[in-house]
Amino acid sequence: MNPNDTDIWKAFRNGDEAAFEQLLVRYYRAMFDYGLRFQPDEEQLRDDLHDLMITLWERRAHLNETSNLKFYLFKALRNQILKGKRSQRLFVDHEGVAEAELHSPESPLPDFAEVEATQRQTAQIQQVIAKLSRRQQEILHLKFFEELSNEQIAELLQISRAATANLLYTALRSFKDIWRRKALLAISILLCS
Amino acid sequence: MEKYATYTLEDFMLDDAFRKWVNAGGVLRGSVWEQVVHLYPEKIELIDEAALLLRQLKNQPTAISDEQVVRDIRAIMHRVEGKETVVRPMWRRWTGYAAAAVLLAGLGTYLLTGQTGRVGEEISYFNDSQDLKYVNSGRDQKEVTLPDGSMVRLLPGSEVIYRSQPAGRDVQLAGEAFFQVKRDTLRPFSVFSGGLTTRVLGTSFTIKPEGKDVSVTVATGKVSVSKAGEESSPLVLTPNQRAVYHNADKKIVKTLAEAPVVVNREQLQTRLVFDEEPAGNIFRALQKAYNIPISFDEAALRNCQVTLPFREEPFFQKLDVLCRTIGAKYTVAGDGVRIESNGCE
Repeated sequence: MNPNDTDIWKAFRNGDEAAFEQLLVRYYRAMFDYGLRFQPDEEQLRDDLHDLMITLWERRAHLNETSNLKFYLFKALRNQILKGKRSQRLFVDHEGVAEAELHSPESPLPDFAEVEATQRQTAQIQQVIAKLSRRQQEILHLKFFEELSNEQIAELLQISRAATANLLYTALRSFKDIWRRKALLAISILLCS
Repeated sequence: MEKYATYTLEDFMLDDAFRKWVNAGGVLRGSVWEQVVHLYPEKIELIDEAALLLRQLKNQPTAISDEQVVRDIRAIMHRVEGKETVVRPMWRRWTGYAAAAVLLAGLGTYLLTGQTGRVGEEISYFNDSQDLKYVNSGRDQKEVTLPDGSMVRLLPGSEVIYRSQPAGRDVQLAGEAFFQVKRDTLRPFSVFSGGLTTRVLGTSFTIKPEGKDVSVTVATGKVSVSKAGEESSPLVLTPNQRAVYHNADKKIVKTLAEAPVVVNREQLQTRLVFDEEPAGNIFRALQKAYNIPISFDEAALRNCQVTLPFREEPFFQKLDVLCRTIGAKYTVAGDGVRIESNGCE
């Protein structure tokens, strides 16, 4: 863990406002990018984050020590959002969402001539990710963007380690299948033009 | 090694050692993966593809702009630090008032004093034009949001008048204020105060009266300053630079901010702790982090190695600690710092 995180968290719990701001500067963006995986409504997500951080601040005296601050915040965010969704009766089964999303219309590929190769790849990857279920997006984000361990992911998603490995593998396979289909399509467009 | 014979794309991507290798740059030569390719040449394409995908997944762009992050953090901190009860709604209500008042002004009504209850004691009225006037008559700093989305933090006793025009956004300032300007490249934001004109597109800075003089200190972005009426030949300031307008001789002098702030956070965050580091490297890291030129004699510092944990101490304190450690002296020269050292043993 980042050595400063320990100090920040300790100072935060002692009511240090500067430490609170530090914490936000350090992790607000990561929390937002992660939260988006299961709360796609950005305005709602910002409200959720606002409420969560205020709640943490108000409850600071009762919070525990943590060996990994970012992970702690991710967990709190996840609970906050899912709790909210459940109470609004909006909680939809992840795999159910996936079906609907798989058939969502595809946004057009960017113009090959105008976009740099790497940017094009990044855009393509984004399109591929968008086709996965929320849960698949979430686990890929945690594994490959945040680089969490399988143990941490299991704890966060509250599933067993075997289920985590399984979910990770199938998510990656779906990702690969869509990616390769897309790559094939791009090649055939190039050949035909 | 045999297990790699049947490795799929997923296997490579989920292999911890493989990901570590990609993160470290992914140079095939001399790596264990070179041996894998040697044994199973058909795997080279999978390895390339897995490395490409891992890099792409790691480099996915953030979904939130810097401005939005800053705004959100400020809203949270505002709520926390607010001595008043529930600051956020009040803030929102405020924008509502401003909009309503503009409408009223357009209809020919022009006074709106004391109608806003507690809010009215900080912020008052609108005059007979489209101008909005904000006065801080309280004892604490007050933040106001202008109709264009810019934020002004007014010190007690200070006031601003805002006028929005098609060609730009003009502000008259009396007193001291920190500005965080909403970017709008088509409509520059100008602040007129004490004979000094400060013009920006989107950035943050402080304007402060100093006796008969006025100073501008830049926190982020670029700022142009000029004498009032001579806006065509401005002096350009970058973060942590400060311009002082001397009223006596009507001259603008560029110098260093009194309390420099970290401009380039990544520079220090990844390098908070220096371990047996050549002093020159640390000066260079500080220079980048604070956007402040630091001149020193590379050869004289050649043997100066320093072990230092830097935290959030102010710039000059960091400089002081570092200089004392290597027995050097620093002086502020113009908008930079000069290091004098006789070297280390």
